[in-house]
Amino acid sequence: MMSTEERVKILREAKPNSWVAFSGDESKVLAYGETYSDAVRAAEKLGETDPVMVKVPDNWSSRVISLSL
Amino acid sequence: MKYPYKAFPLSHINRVTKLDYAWRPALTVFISHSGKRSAPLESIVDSGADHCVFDAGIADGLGMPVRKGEQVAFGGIARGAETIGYLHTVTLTVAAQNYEAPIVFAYGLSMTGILGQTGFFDQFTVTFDWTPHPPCFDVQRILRI
Repeated sequence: MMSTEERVKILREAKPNSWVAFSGDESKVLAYGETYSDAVRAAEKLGETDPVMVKVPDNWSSRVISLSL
Repeated sequence: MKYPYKAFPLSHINRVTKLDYAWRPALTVFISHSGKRSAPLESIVDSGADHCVFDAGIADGLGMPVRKGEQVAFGGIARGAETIGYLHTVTLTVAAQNYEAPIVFAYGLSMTGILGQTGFFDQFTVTFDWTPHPPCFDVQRILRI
């Protein structure tokens, strides 16, 4: 597992509206992609069968998350 | 099982915590459909959400016909803007437990996914704990006879 500071830096510097693929043990970032599938494929090419996927938002504003259908 | 909260960047320093990141309860889950399984998905546990909602790009990656799902509209806490999503039943894997769950897939979400009341909290007892640093949360499957 990477440090909090490293994780925050990676996510902050990732392109908005993209995807980040971390290694399965979340010790490093493996790949980025415009889409989920692009990032998964890029991570798989590096030999990672289970990349942990995180979507990067437009901006990292504070969240008040609540949804109703 | 206990899981630590994870840190997410903030565009501005939080005026209360004085931090430029926020701790959020994030859980890695899998979505499976028609024999295909997603990559591990870092999802936010959100007790205020009625349903589980995930970015539709994941469903596209699984080859799901996203727009053939029942169309639903959902909104957040702010008045106004609604987003359209598509309801599907998939297999959700949470804490090594597999079960069928209704999931709304929507394009253009600002996060990977949200685990809400129906499909997550109705399956697990969840306890949030800000005693340690970082905070953690415990997830236990609800056993129904």
